[in-house]
Amino acid sequence: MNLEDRLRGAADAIIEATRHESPQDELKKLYVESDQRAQDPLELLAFDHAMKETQLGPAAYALGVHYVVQDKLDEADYWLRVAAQSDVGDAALRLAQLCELRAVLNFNKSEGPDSALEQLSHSQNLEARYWYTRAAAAGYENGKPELLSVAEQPNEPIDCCDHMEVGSSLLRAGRLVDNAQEEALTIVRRARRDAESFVEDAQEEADQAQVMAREARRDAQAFVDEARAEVESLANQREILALQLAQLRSMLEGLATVVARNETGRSGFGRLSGRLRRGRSRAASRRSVMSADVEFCARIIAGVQDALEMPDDEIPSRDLLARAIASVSPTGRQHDIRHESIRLAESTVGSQRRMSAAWGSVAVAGR
Amino acid sequence: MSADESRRDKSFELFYLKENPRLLRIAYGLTGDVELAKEVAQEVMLTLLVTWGRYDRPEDLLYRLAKQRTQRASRKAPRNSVALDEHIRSAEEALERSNANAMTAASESHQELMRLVSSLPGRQRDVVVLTVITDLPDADASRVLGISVSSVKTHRQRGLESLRKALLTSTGPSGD
Repeated sequence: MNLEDRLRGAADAIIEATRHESPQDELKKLYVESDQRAQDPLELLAFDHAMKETQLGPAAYALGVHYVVQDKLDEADYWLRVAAQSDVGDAALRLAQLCELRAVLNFNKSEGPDSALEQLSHSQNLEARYWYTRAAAAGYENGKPELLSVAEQPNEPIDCCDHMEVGSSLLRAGRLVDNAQEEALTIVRRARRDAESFVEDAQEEADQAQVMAREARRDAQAFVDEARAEVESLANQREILALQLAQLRSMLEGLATVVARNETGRSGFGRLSGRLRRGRSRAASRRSVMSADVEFCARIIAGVQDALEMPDDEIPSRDLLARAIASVSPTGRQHDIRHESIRLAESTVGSQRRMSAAWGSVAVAGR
Repeated sequence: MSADESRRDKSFELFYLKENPRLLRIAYGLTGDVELAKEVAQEVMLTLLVTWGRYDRPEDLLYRLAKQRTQRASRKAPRNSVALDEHIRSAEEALERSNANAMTAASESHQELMRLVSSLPGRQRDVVVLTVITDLPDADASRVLGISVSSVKTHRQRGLESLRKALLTSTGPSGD
């Protein structure tokens, strides 16, 4: 239960708990008492006075405000004082403001510190303070004019004459302006808040877009790198194939030359090439049966193999190579072949490209 | 029906039956004392009955008359100061009530709450009494008090805030 409900409940509960008669009975008693007291003229006068007193406060307040607007400050002071003493609305507050205004006016008009006007101003200041205190006691915020909000101004337009109409119109216009300003400020504040929120959203989306762009760029770069590596790998393979092709071509040319010129020594050729094919490595040289030619040729092959830095099995056209050397060897030009092959073995270390030149030399030696 | 009864105005009767409960609440909110509130309410209704038909909007006068009577009563005898005879009478009544177990803890807390209302600053008390205890709309309260509707709201807010603080002080944090 909230405080408002508690208050209503408390008032009703206590009133009901102390009620001993029905409303009709209470009304009857009221009539009886009224009849009795109405016999006394003084009582009648007191009732009449009480009713008039309830009217006096609001009427005095209206009159006081009326005189303030007409700039008749003495009269305004009097009637506002009557209203304030009758505890009407914010009469105490208006009276305090009026006293303060009159104190300032009198102070400005005074000729010296001891002048009558300045003393009057001082007493009016004291009076203003007193009425501000009364206003504060009635619940007005601190009882200070500068702290009063628009909400604490009177609302009743008093337009009984031209002056009042102008005055109340000005008051109303002032309030309208204040309200409009407040509304405008509210709208501006709301718009600013919306704009800030919009900018924040846009910034967030831009950040997300940047992140996505970075990721896309990274992916594209990775794809390009991969493609480039693949292209390079293909280029290497192509180069190797081109080299191998050149080797083959060169070897075939040399072989063709050898075959064309060497009519004799067929048996020697066949034997040598067979040994070379069977021996396949330098291990074969360890066999004592191997002839000097075979050993020489095997050395050439080993030299070429070392120069190419390739495993034994991968030497291209080893068989053909063996045949080529064997066919050259029985011609009795061993010296030339040895000399040339040693030179080539030394100069082609680490260079695959010289293979074709080597085979060219073999071909020359064969001639 | 007697001649006296026939001259009584039916409109006042209707007014009484309708407005008397509200008047009682107003008077109780202003005084914080249920017996005094009943006296004030009776005086207000008597005044209106005697002057019935002379003033417009008598319902608006209820509050002003009740306040006027309350101020007079408090000037005559300050609140919480009672005559010796009254003391003796209330002591006897309290004894009877205590014997009959009439006074419960709940009613004590209600009375405490109403005492807090009557101790609020004048304008805040007026607004709380009119708009909260008697459930009067803000516009009507503003007309009765001669202040703006915004002022009514401001005073009510401040009054309720003061009451909450006072309740916390008197009963501890679990008081509300």
